[in-house]
Parts: sequence; C-alpha cells; structure tokens
Amino acid sequence: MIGDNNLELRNVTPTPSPLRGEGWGEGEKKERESFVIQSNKKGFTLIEVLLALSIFSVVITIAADFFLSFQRTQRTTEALQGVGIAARSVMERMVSEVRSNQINYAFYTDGIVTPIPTQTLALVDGEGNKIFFRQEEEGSEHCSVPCAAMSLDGIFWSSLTPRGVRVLALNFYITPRLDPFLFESGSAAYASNAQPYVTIVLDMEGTSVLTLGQSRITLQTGVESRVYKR
Amino acid sequence: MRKGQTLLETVVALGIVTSALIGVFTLVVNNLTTERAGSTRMQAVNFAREALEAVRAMRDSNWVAGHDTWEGIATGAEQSLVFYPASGGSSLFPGGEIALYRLSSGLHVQSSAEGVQTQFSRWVNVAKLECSNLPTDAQAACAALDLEKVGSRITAHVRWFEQGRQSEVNLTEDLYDWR
Repeated sequence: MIGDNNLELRNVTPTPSPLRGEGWGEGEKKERESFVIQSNKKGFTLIEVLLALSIFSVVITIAADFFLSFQRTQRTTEALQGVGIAARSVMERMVSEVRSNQINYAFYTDGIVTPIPTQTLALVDGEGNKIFFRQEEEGSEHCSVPCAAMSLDGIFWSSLTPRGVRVLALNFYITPRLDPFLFESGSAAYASNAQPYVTIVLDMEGTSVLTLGQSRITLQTGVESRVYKR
Repeated sequence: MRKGQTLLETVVALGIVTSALIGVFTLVVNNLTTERAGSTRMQAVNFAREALEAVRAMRDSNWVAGHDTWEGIATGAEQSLVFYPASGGSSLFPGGEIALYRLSSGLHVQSSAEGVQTQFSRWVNVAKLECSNLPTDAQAACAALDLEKVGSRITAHVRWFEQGRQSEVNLTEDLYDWR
C-alpha cells in the first residue's frame, strides 16, 4: 500500500505555476528572470548586514565579558580556597607540635632566642628528638617558591605547603627568651620564670598571577607549650 | 511569508536569558563572598585561640613563678586583653573590646601607636567555676574540699565587620588549678 502511494506520488506531475508556466514568449524572458529574482531570492542590503554584524558583536562582547568575569571570580575563589586550606594545615601542624613539645633553647645562640621575631622555630620532644619549622627561600631543594618547611635534623627540609601557594612571611615570637627549665647554679635561680609560649604569624598567598593580591591570608595565633616541668 | 516574533515573545525570551545569567552571576559572586568570609572566620578563630592561650599562659606562668594561680585573672565579663608577643606576658582588665592593629611585619597587636586597624576586635570573659559546674560524679568530692573557686571559665570573643555585617566567634576553655 505504502509502495503504491509512493509510486503514485512520484508520478504526480507538478502543477504548472502561474508565474513560471509554459507559454512564456521568447521576448518576455528577460522580464521574467528579473521578476523571479525580485520576488523570491532577495539578498541582504549593506545596511542590514552592518546592523546584524553590530548587534552580533555587541551581544558577543557582553557574553564574553560575562564569561571572563565568571572565570576570574571562580579562579579567585579557587586560589583563596587553596591558600586557606594550606594556611590551616601548616598552622595546625605547628600549633600541635608546640603544644606537645618544648622549645629547643639550645638551638639558639647562647640559649637566648634572638632575634625577635625569629625565623626558625626549634622544638625538642621528651626523648630529645628535634623538630624545626622555618620559611624556606625560593629555589631551595623542595620549594620552587618560598614555602613553609619542616625538618627533623635541621639539614634536610621538606615543604609543608602545596604547589601554587607562596609563603610571604613565617615569624615566631618566642617567650620567654631564656629557658625557664634551666637551673643556673651560678645564680642559683632559673633562667626565667614563665611558661614557654609562641606567637606564630603566617602570611601566604596564591602564586597565580591572575589572582595576585586577592588570595592573601594572614593567620596569627598563639600557643603555649604543655610540658610542665616546674 | 514567514511571520516574525511579536514583541511579547522577544521580551519573554530576553527575560529568560537575563534571569539565567543573573542566576549564574549571583552564584559565582556568592561563592567568592562565602570563601572570603570563611577565610576571615578562620583568622578570627585563630585570634580567639590566641586569647585563650594567652590567659592559659598567665595561669601557667604564675605556677612557674610561684605566684598565686589566678593572679591577674580576675573574674569578670567583657575584659580587655593586652598581650605582648615580643616581650611575653599579658594583662586582663575591665574595659571591653579592643581593636586589633596590624603592624607592617604582619603581627597583630592591640596597640594603636603604629599599624593599621583591622576589622577585628576582641574581649575576654572570665567566669568563676564552682563545684556545681563540675560533672555530677565529681561534685561530692569537690564539695568536701570546700573551695571558694575551683577554676575559671575563659571565653574569648572576636567580633568583626565584613560588608556591613557583624560576625562573632566565641571560644571557651575551662582552666583549673590542678597543681
């Protein structure tokens, strides 16, 4: 049935159009062509093309601007998030080490913490194992940008900060400057009378030039050593 | 001849496109605002912890120096905390919140002599802990000691303004005279 229909359709002779039908004279040919072009295949005028192009470019510019600003904002958010996570993790690491260990006063010249602030935090645990924290400069073994680094011997350092984060400052304010657990037999007194306490200032930002200056976080906190010896 | 769009159709189409764009834009901007607020809150929590540690260091330094445990840590609400990161030591006194100032080194202190004022301000509440504040199983033993005060409940408050909105974090720690 369907085949029959198709066959039937194919055999249908097109109805002659009243405009293009047979019977046009030779002399009328030119007139007929121009009539066909005018009525059926009209092009765009220059003005129309220019107008369309200008509307298109305005729309595209606005859309591109929106897209770029979305992208910029998203990048800033991402950078800020990365710096935040890094700052928190580095800070918590240092805080927990200070809390459960002692200040290694012997590391500092003559057992006096100098200068203030000091760049290196030297700690020692109950078994004499040493822990150091400091800011490593650019180009050192483990950091391509300035990073926060930790060491267990003061020689080999490993980075605590991930890629994409630069440490602008890492300062330690250690008080008291003299070991309160050191009994000086000469003066028959302890070197100082306060529980060791460290103020840590950590300043970081993302390394991406696209978000420079917008992803900076400064964290400051204080932590006291929980080792009670007197 | 093809019929063009009516004005109403065009306005509706534009409205849909615009509201979609506004939606995305709001989402992206709020995302950044929330992230920034999170960073500021993290800073505030660290400042609050600093205050708690400073008060704890007062108690512990009193022990080390052989002073009375609660010397300098008087009971009272809304006390100002001034501490000296470089020289050590802190003091608590009635006076309410104190603004934090950022020095060029990145250190935040309470002095306005130099440095730039930040949006943070801080104060400390010190409440007296009595036997009734302890867990029930410890109360009988505590009462037998007949102490006027068994400890101090330290609450560090940090308040800040961001885009006209006020936020606050409170951290609390109970200190006891266990030595």
